Amino acid sequence: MNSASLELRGVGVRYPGAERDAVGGVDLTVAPGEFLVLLGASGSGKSTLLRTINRLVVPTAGSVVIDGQDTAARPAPELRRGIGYVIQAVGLLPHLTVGENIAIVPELLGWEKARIAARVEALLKMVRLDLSYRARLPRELSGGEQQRVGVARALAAEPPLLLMDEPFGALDAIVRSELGTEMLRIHRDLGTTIVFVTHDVDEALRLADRIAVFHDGRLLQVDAPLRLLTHPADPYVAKLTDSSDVLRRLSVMYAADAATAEIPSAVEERAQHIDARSTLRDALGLLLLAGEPLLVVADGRAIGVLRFATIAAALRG
Amino acid sequence: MSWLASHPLELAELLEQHLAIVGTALLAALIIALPLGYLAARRPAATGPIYGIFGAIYTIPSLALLALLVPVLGLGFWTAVVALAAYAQMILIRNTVAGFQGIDPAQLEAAAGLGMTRAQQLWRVELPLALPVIVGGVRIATVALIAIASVAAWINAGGLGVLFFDGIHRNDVQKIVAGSIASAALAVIADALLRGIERIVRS
Repeated sequence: MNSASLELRGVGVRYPGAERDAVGGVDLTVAPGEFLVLLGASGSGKSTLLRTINRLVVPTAGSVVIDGQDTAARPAPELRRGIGYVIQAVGLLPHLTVGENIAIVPELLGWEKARIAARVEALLKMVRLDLSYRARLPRELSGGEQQRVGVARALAAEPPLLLMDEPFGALDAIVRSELGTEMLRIHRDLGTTIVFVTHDVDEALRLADRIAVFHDGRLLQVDAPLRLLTHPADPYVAKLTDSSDVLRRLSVMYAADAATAEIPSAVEERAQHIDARSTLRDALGLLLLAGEPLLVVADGRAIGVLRFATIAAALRG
Repeated sequence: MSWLASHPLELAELLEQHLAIVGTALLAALIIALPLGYLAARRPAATGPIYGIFGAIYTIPSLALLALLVPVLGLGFWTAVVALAAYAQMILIRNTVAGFQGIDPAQLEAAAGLGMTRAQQLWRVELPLALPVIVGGVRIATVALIAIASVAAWINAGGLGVLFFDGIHRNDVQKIVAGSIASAALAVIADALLRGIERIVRS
């Protein structure tokens, strides 16, 4: 697995002439392979903080440490070639083909032509674009396809760390959710450490291993999605996440964790099946439609059952 | 037309002088306008002064500009080149600024974020993207300079303008007509040629 550790030590940003910090003294440690989401309203400082990691913004206080090395110790272009970067506006270069866009960082790193060509092909497959896209120009692609290329371009040189700044914010809901699913799969396959900025609470809850909530340039709380909803550390966090919303809470709880272990043999015959990775929110919907009980299935094997009472018990913790 | 047909050698010489003046002036003008235009596009503090100075030069009538330069630089080729280059500045700078400012900031952000150095960003991203608009400026400037270069004959720099001044002095309408046709044809051909180049760099 190719994944970096990341440590923010008292990182602060104050723009010249500003009265207060855009980002104030943030301490945050990201484990190798973690999917961390920075969540906050616009102007909360989350994007600015993200941009300090690849030094597009130079912090005015504190330091950013990747795999034990202070990022200020290396020339910024060299540092950035080792960090994937995806932005909301995508920013594909319009005078280059899709293939040439994806090849930018490997070329900057001086890879051989054959290796670059093979890598471009593998990346198109990874983001599920047909190989014929390689010779197309960005303007011929839909918004969702362009951002798939944006993700491929960011991952081209196999960076151990990937930064994503509201990458799906400009896309419609269906494409957005589709690309979210793709990111979870890519994250699972590659193990890349990901820092992902969004203002969309549901997107954060769905994608994150842990969520860091920002407000007015300050970090309010860092926790796993469910913990954030059940134990908001601050009134703002509770308000932002609408943590009293029971359905939202069920959307970050999973069938595998709530299912009761014993399987009555009679149940197997007639019960509706549900995948172990489904959320309890989906399970509740299915229960309402199909009736009790649901048979929870992992890899084709029944591992337990779900009833209204099991879900209620899981909710009460 | 009859003069053009009966004096092919003289015409060729004047044409060559005309092209030399315009070509040299354009090259000199580009060497100055490209960096200044880039500076004006990227540093808002520089935009005002640069536009102010070259905008003022642009308003001086070409004949007056030549008259002002003769006491300093004397008569001849280089004086004409300096005057034409100064005149072309405003057109070239304005288009250079428009070219660089027309680039989507997201593309610049991506280029920097991927790890391009400043020089790589300039050569691989900014210049190729700004080029069609810059070439458009070169085209407009070329057509303008071909017309204005006619007055260079007045300070002994040669060119197609010789036909105008000779024609006026000797009351020879044929020569005046010949000069007009030749310089207009040159402008039309240059315009078509540069439009072609513009189309190539745009695609």
